[in-house]
Amino acid sequence: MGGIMKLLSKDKFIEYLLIILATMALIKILWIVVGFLLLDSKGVEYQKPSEVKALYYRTNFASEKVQKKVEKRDVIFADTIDSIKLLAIYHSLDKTVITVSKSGKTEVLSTGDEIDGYILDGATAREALFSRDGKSYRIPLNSDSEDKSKSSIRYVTVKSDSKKEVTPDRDIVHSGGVTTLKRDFIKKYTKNMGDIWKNIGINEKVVDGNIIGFQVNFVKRGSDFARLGLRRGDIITAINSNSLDSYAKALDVYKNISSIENLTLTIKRRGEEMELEYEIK
Amino acid sequence: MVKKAILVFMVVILSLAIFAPKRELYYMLEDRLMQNGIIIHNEQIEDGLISLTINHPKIYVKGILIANVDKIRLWTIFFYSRLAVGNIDIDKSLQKFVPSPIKKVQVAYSLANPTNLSILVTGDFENINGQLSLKDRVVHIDVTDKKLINRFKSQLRKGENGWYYETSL
Repeated sequence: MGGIMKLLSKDKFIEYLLIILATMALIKILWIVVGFLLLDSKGVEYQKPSEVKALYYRTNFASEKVQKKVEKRDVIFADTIDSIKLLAIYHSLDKTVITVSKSGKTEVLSTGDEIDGYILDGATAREALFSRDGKSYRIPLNSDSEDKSKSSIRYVTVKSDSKKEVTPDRDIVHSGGVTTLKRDFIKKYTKNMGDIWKNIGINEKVVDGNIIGFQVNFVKRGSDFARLGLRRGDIITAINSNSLDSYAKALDVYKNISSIENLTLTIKRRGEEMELEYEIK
Repeated sequence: MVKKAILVFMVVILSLAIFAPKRELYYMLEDRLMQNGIIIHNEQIEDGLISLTINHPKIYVKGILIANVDKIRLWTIFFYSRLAVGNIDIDKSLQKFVPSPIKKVQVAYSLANPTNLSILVTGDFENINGQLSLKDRVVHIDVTDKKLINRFKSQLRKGENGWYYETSL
């Protein structure tokens, strides 16, 4: 009797063992098929971008006597803005202010102000630069007023009584067509990144799966970023001629910004490429 | 019959874990992560019986080195899976945005709670607990450490149960 039980249990053991082995074999085959048909045999590795450029190749243009244009675009002469005449240009330490005549009325404009849809971008010693619909307009100083008095081009120091007219913006100084940023101003934003996103919205601009730059989605009116000349829709494509085609490059700028002296943003505005230049002091 | 069914079920579960082509499944996960801009680089892979250990990987997110990690361990037995990331050294430039140092991040999935992943973060701060809702694709993290609350206040929100961080995926 005991022998029969032993034989039976042995048979059962073999049966269970067969079931276990068969199941395991089936699962193994299943995994092999899945692996062969659906899974990769090679992993993904990070490919370091090969092109590396220093961020600080720029010369100190502020020290150059030649005043550079803030933006490079197709320039249309003032003949196309019939309604506006440039009467005077004032460069203070803090701001550029111009006086224009429109329909017999005189108006005072500072950088960023608008007249008839034209936005004042800046001014050199003899002309004012406006933009509208992605095009630049250059209005030379009115020849009549220039002839009458050359003092219409004046460099003025901001005094307490003139502060009402020209609001000093100590972190961002527009002077002689050059925008100077204080290093503390940069530090303020690198320390508190949250403050940046309260004033400006930026997202990567992807075309055919590749980042071509970073697009400005919004700029808070009157914010520091608006004063820097950035506008909604601008695509920042390069910084100091380093194309901004990855997050890594954007982070490189963030990492190195405390040590750079000049900053040039290449942007696309309504399809036109232009440059915004800043000196950091 | 019932005994046989239970036996088969148990064997299937164990076999699925033991015979799984873990490396290849990991490569598939790597590929999926890459599609979302995350790359695990320079790792050494070690197979276990029911686990996979990835030693010394560097984590890149959208081309940016986020962290050097000592060890990532994936462990699964079908109804319970766990991913543990140990000793995360966050890149200096990003330490402003993430609490550090992080000793361990553990993400676990259980069939008992099929729509959520649980998250546990430990480090030189009070443990951080959170959840990832697979249904709503929302990450909710409760923050109780006072220092962390002060440091990241601008990114946190206050609810009935205290401060929390929430983001959708």
